[in-house]
Amino acid sequence: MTAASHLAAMAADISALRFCPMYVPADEVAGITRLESHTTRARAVQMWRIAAGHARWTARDAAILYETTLDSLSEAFDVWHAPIRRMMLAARADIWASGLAPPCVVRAVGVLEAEAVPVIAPCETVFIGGEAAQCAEAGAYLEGMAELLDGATCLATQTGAAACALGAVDAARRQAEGLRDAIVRANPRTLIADGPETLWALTKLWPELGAPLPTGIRVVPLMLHLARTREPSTAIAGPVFVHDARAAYLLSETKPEALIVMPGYARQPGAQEKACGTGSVFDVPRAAVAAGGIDMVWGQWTRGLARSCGADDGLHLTHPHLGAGLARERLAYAAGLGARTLASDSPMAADWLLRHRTEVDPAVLWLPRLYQEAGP
Amino acid sequence: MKTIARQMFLNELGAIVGANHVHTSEADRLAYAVDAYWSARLWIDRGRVPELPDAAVAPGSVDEVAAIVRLANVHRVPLIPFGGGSNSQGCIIPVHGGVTVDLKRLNRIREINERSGYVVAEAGINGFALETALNDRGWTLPHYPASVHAATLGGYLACRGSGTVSTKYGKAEDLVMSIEVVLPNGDVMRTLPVPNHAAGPGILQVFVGAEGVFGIITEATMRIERLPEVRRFRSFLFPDLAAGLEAGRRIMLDRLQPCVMRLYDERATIRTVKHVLDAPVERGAYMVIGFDGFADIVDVQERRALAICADLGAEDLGAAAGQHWWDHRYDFYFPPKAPDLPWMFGTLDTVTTFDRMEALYADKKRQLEERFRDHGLYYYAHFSHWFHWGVMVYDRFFIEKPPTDADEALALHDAVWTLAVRINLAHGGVINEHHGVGLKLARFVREQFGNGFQVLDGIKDRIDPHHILNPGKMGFGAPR
Repeated sequence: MTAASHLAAMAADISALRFCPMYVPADEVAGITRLESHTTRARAVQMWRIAAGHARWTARDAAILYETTLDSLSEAFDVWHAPIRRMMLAARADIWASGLAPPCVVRAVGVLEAEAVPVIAPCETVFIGGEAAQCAEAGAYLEGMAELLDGATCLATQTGAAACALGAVDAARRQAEGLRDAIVRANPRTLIADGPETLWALTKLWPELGAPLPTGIRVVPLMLHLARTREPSTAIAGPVFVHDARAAYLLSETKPEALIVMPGYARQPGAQEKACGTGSVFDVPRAAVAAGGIDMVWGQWTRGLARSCGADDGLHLTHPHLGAGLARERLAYAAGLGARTLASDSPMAADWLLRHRTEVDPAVLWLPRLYQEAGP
Repeated sequence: MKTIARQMFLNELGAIVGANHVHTSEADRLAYAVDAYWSARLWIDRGRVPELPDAAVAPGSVDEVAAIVRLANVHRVPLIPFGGGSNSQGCIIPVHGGVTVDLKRLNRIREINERSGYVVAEAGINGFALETALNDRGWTLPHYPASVHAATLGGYLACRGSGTVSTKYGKAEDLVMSIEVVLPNGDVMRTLPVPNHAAGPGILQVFVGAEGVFGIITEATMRIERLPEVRRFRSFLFPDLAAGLEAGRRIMLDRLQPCVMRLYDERATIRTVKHVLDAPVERGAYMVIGFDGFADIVDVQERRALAICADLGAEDLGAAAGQHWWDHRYDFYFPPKAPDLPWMFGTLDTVTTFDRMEALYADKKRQLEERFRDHGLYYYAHFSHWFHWGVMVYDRFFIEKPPTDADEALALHDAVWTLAVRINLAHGGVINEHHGVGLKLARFVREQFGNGFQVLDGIKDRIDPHHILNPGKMGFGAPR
């Protein structure tokens, strides 16, 4: 395969990124492997060469594209916010379509596709555990949820987000259409998304895949629903560092400002945090922590600039050792900020971080637990 | 190296660093073959494959670096040190093949000494990571190059880099106190513990700026400063460049210690300041001046600088404009504002004394634009690293429609550089001020030093008789 359709369409955008070294702080996997080919710049060089017809994909090129994340962090870090994530996604789509996807990717997509589309009985509210479905024990994130959500139908199911991230766009579309049709048949008024990736999938990805929800169905993030209906527990060990899932960047209202990553400034507690991006996807989880009067700490890699927990973009499914490395980095980062608890509204992030936490790391909390622990 | 011998060599490398830190695929080697040097980028842009290293290896300790160097000596394999890959001169291009030694795993901070104000860190640490760690303790390594997010500490020193606040705090070579370096025979050497002394010549500065041809820097002790109480910036618009240069000269000779003083010529004022910062300027020469430190001292410095600028007819654009520049100073280096292929461009920076600078600048601008008029070359500059005796000119040329053919484009590029460098030298300048020599300027090193080059030649022949370290750079040739 040379200049395949998805990537070739983005050649002009990639061109400008080919040799820019400025993205190094956002090269998360390269930060672990210290390997130059994992950097945004090196990936852009190779993607551009292929898009321009100057090179062909090799197995190693394909592997590199999957060993890294989709790079929304590089996109966020870029003062001009070039669509780096879309470039990577286009490259993965081309690789998948050409049959060059590494075996670990083929296996992961196979597992995702094997999951049956759920049958949903008619109801008022459906809790969609799209992120929970990617956790090792999805059931743990459904436990008690029906009670917490006043009898909502609760299910852990693939939304297509993971398949899409791996480049299997057709598989993602099939999953989105299947779930969308099941939801339409159940005719609920409200869908509650378990985390930012699910919210993004239902509201942004599905329309792109040609499977939009009917306009009469409201989609609400779980944290927002809980904040409106219940009081959170205050039994949480502060200070707390709130980890934002990678998908939160895709839902942010404003993008991060370059000012936040300047050398030569002491970190002022909380003073500049909103420069890392704004929107309810960031504010609601923090408000839940603040409601209990619990101290929070922040660092530069937060909100839209949040570094990966390791369970983004399929990395935890295809390269768990790299995902584990990112998880350990993230936990160490929170610890370095003085956090006693790392809290996230993303079940996928919380689950993955918890799996890689050691006893010296901060505690890990999935934020809806605050409301479960508080009781009715 | 033949196939079997090559594989045996790679096996030995793997035995030193672990097989997972030896990279041989074309995709990996390509990543180590291109830095920000325009000619290497051109090669890629035109569909060519540049010189690739035979392998890239990532040692995790100084002992591993030393073992790699000893092994390379046995096999006569060139070694190319690699840091952040942000160099604009082609320092890391493996022109004679060999093995690229990626130092980024050497990323530990050994000590932050707050009593004496220094930090000891391994050379592969990322500049921004080091800075963040210092900032968290209330300190700073006052070296903020545009490449701060990408470059490594070792890269700062190997190329004698300069940062935004170097006018007050000095360049990389001024901030370094001592280094640990692996010599070409694999010995690990430490320079004297302090940089200033009368204990013989300064061996430290032989390695600083040598771009890896004399040894591989593996650790450095750097002077650090407390984070300033205040930082204040102010922008001015001078009627012309000459008035701005005179203001800068007076501010330096009065020892007012600005941390930032950046003066744009008339064309750069329109082309870059107006364009990138969206500043409402239509004429004149834009200048940003910044002071940092204790507020009461900054008050005095700023007041005196303001008086000098007013005396030379500058319009005071205020503090907000200056702060805006500071907050967006790196925007110039991200796409799409940074220049990119297919344009031809280059930064011709040099430094000379105040009495020579205006003539150097004017002559270079005139000659380049006249000689390459048919190619549409244009030139502009800013002046941003000031000394008490002179100033650096950061001048750039641009050709928006260079030849399509890569060979023709490279020939034109090199012709522009030849003329520009010779003008620098003729006016009492040097071939470069803060980007280094690399492959780009290697052909001018002997000419620049004249018979002084025999000093470097003698050192090289004595300590690296096989010319294994970074061959083809700094005026030295192929491995022997």
